[in-house]
Amino acid sequence: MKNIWIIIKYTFREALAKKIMITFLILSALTIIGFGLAFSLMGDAAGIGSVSQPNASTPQSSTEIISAGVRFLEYGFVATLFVIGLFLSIFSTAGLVPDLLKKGNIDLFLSKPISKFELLCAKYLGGLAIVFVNIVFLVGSIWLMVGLKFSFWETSFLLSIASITFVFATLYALMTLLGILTKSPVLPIIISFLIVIVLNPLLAMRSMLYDLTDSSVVKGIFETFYYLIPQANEIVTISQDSIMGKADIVYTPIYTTAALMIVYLSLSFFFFKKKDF
Amino acid sequence: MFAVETENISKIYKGAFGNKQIHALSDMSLSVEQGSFFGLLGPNGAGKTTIIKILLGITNPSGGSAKVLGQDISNYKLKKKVGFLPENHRFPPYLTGEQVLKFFGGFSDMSQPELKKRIDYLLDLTKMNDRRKYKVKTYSKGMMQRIGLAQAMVNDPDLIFLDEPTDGVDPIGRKEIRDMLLNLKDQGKTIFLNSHLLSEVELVADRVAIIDKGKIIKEGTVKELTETEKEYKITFAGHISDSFCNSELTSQRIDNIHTDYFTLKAEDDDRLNAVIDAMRSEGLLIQGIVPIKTSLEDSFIRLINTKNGGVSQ
Ligand SMILES: Nc1ncnc2c1ncn2[C@@H]1O[C@H](COP(=O)(O)OP(=O)(O)O)[C@@H](O)[C@H]1O
Ligand SMILES: [Mg+2]
Repeated sequence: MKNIWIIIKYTFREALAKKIMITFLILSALTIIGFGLAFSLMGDAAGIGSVSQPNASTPQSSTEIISAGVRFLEYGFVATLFVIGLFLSIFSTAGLVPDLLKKGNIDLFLSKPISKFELLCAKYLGGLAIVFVNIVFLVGSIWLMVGLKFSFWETSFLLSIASITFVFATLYALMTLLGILTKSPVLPIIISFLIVIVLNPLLAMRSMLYDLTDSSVVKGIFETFYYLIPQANEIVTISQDSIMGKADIVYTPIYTTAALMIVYLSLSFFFFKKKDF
Repeated sequence: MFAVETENISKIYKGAFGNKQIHALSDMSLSVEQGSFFGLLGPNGAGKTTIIKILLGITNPSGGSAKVLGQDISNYKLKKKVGFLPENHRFPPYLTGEQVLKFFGGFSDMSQPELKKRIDYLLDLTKMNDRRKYKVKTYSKGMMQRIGLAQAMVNDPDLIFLDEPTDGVDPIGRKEIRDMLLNLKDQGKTIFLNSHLLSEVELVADRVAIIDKGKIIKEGTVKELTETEKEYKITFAGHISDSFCNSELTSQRIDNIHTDYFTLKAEDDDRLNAVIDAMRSEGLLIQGIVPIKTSLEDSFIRLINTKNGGVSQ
């Protein structure tokens, strides 16, 4: 346990020294400022609230309208924050595992009384902790801004901290695996961006695509990918639905994604143990 | 108990696609006595680094078994009492020398105050005290080796592995490193030193193994390895006969026969004296017996060359 703590602590130090942390925070701050500017152009939440529910048949109290407006706003933010948050997280952590594996460095670590399992665990958790801190900053600031502006605090919005970190954790497990196999951050970055920018949106529309083609091959490929990458779209939807207070949310995508994370981590440990350094 | 004991360790590196195998080590068995200074010598690519990495669990062996400090190498906890200075080590460049020691020392069982004391002691010992607050990326090669050595000693190990510790260090720095190692040996530590520089090992090691292409060619004390090849230049006056040169005693031993000297290879002093007696009874006047000292370097190069069919390293 002590060994894991030491390595997590020094992973933070590494992130600070490599200016990863500060870059992450600056880019988050820019995002927050962007959102802030957008707010200042908006009217009050009551207006948004009434727009968001044009068909509301029963007359509503003004707090209900404000609450609806804030929820509608935050609903819209979640997807954007997911993309920005993942984007920044991928960049800031892609180098951690490959740098650890560099010749002359990994030898030092493995010559200490620390098991390969502990070492990789610690490096993985260290990366995750760095991302978590930054996502708390990003999502938390926007939540604060919305709350201050509209004097309405919707705590379920903060759940997206957990869901973004969770989707990233799965992506990071895959990045760790690729990092171990290639000893370079290039492939992990390319594949993760491909997943976030191309595959996820494509998969979100896959039922539409199925309407265009009868090919079972195409369908098979899409379905395979669906289970090989974190189901970010569905998890975004779950976050949005919980903000909107929806009742019958299906949580299956969380379980399948968690299973995927375990598979990628197990494969990472397997190859890390097998590899010669 | 031996500090290091390997039994038929072999290592085959597989190429990227399973082809192009490299036999880095073949059935290597060696043992290093506790408290001794062991030198592993061999040309580049002989497998010296590979054996250390296997002993430390950094690389997996393809076959055989090994024990370090009496425990199977699969037990990573044994490394609490082991130190290692890798060749071309790369410390986190953003840490200072002192932070490097604090970081790697953190994995030992020492308490914080103990560790702090140990770090102060090591920074003094390696003459790095005035640079302790500087980042390691500002260090010269010699400083890197010295802080590396301090790092290898930070957990107060019983056994310390050093992979080419004097590589790229100037002669004064080399001497300082050698003195530090000898000091460690005086404290009863076991030292396992890899080098392709024979002169480095010759001066400090008790026992030496020479390896080439993953196999041990020769093993023994420095004295044994140098003395088995003892050679003399014998100068004399008088006529040397064919029958003397071709006798059973001399035919395989004397060489370079000139009118006033020849060289003699003698396994021991008795043989040397027997030849001198034979010369005297031939009526030759002996004018000088000069031992041609073979350094480990000579015997090393000779060994490698005969193994390689005369191709030098
Ligand atoms: N990770 C590796 N993958 C493939 N081949 C390797 C690896 N490490 C070492 N080798 C090969 O194994 C042999 C022994 O290398 P090494 O132990 O580094 O020798 P030395 O330390 O004596 O110079 C060399 O032929 C080297 O090319
Ligand atoms: Mg080497």
